Amino acid sequence: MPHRAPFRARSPRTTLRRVNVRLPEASPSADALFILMRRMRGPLVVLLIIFAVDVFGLSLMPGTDLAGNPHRLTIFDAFYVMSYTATTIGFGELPYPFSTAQRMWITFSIYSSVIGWAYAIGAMFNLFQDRAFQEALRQQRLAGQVRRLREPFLIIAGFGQMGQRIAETLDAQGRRLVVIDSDGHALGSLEGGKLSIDVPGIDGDARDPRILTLAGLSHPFCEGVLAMTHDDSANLAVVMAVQLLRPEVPVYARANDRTAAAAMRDFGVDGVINPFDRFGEYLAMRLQRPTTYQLVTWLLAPYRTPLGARQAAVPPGRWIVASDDRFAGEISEDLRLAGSTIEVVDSARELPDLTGVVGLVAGSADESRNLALAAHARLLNPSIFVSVRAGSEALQPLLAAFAPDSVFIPSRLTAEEAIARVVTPDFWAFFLFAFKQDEEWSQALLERLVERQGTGSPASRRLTLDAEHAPGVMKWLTHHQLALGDLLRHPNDRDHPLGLVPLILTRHGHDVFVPGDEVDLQVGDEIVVAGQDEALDSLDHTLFHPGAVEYVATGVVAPETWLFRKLSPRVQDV
Amino acid sequence: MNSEKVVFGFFVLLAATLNFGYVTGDIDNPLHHNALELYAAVVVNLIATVLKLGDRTQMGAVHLASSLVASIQLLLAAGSWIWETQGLGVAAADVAPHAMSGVVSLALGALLANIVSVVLMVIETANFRRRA
Repeated sequence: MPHRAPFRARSPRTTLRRVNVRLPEASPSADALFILMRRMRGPLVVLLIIFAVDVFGLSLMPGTDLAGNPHRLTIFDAFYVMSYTATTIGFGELPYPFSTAQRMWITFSIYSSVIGWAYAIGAMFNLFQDRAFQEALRQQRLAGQVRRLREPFLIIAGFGQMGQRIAETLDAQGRRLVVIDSDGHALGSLEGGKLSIDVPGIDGDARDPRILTLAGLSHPFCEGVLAMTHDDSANLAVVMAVQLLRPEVPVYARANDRTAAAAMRDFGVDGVINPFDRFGEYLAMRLQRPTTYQLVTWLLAPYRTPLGARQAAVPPGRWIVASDDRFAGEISEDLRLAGSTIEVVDSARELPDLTGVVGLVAGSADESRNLALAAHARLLNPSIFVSVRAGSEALQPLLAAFAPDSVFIPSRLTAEEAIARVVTPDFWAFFLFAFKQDEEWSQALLERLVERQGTGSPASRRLTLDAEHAPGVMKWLTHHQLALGDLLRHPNDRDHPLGLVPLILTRHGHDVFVPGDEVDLQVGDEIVVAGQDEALDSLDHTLFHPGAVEYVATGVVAPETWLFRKLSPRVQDV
Repeated sequence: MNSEKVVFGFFVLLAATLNFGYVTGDIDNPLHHNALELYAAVVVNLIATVLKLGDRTQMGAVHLASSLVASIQLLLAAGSWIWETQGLGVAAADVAPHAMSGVVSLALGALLANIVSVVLMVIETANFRRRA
């Protein structure tokens, strides 16, 4: 099914963008056909000349016909003979047996034309082996792949641990992607077939706007860019390129550093994810508001992740942060705001006395060292709260066995936050709202979610009540009222609610979070609902079928077909 | 002096001159048109076409187009000549006037394309002078 290009204002001006610029062409030298033609010019000319001389010479050689009269081959006959001789097909001597002079010339022709062919074919094979030529071919193929995309797609710059995690999750949701990385090895994993949809992987530096263009930044279906490289300056370069060249495309970036994050905000980035900064907030929430923490991490987790166990709140107290880099400063700030006293120690040294200490953050850059520190702390003080920072997922089994009270994996946190922003941008607004809520609110929502849709983490979807997305509801709303709670009844059995919880109701640009069932819907409302895929599919049925809408609203089974609807006086207006 | 330009100019001009040489004479008189000259014109035109491959400029594109036109017309002329003589088994001197004028008019068309090529080359050269 062809998708329509998402509507966007074309190239708006912003404070930073004063002049609208066309996006740079992706490397103009990359036309393989021109390289082929230019390089084959010499060999082809040589071949043509040799062939022409051979044909002409053969037509001059004296010969006789069967009766012994003098006879020369015409140009056409000579061309015919040379054609099958030079290509080693060899039909023999036509139209009459050759004279000695003709045979001598043919002998010469065979050797000379072999040289010509060998030169031409050799040059061609040489060209195919040529790195520049292969690169040009590959780039052209990728550019073609990107150009032919007819669905919205995201560009992921940086295909490291984080980029791959994001790509896998989005791929599982059926999203189209284009990936950029300067490391060919990282892109090699694309060919491993882990992803279900063919993802064009562009080998190049994302800082170069031409590479971004090649990846489809100028494509009408480009719906967002994720700058997820390890290098803050590269991420900043991507943000700047997108904001200056295609400001209507949202861009999300990772930043390890506050100054880089500030520069990105200057360029109007749609979201900066600073994992060190974010983790401090999560940890503080975990300590003070465990229910809210349980709710938001569950909402953030991949689809159908089981709900984690509720953990107890940890009162503020004395904390020890063992670290060897900027992480110590970031995390101490957040813990201090939460009312604790912090002692930062060098992770390379022995741990200080742990009596009376509430918690330990093992936060060095070396994950094995962190695990060792945490183990030591647990031996000294079994009831201590330990938080372990891990650089990768490699130690995952060990960490699972050790079961620290909190684990910080920067790449995972960044990936989850990036995905939450990209999948449904509305959902992110709700998430930020939930982040600030107190325990009772979280408890109520959590209970409602679990009761309605089970303990697997929900997917979310935005519904728009307009003629295109909900024709059934539109018809009903022209004459009747429809409560939100009724809309979310099961279209087969209205006594049972669908396993969905409305999270946001947007009306005239205003968001209402977690609207109640009694709210009456209006044309143009947008609703973000959370729930399992099956329930979302059932809801689609209601949205599109006027009969289903009447049933969920009133309990009356209305005729579905046109004839019976006309015959039934009750539903004339439906 | 650029040897590449010499080769290029040589073949473009030679293609036009050979073509011209072939078509001069009464259009329907086979005695006025030398088959070997037609052969040479075909070969030189093909070489000129190959020399123009792979030029990305606008001028280069028109050059290539005109050469392709000339080559195709000359190949058609050669093909119909072969048919009229060997295909029908007629001696070269006895080719019928209407058949001969068919062959020569195809070659005349090619001459027009070759003249365009030469004019383009002259324009290019003149521009080059001005810039230098």
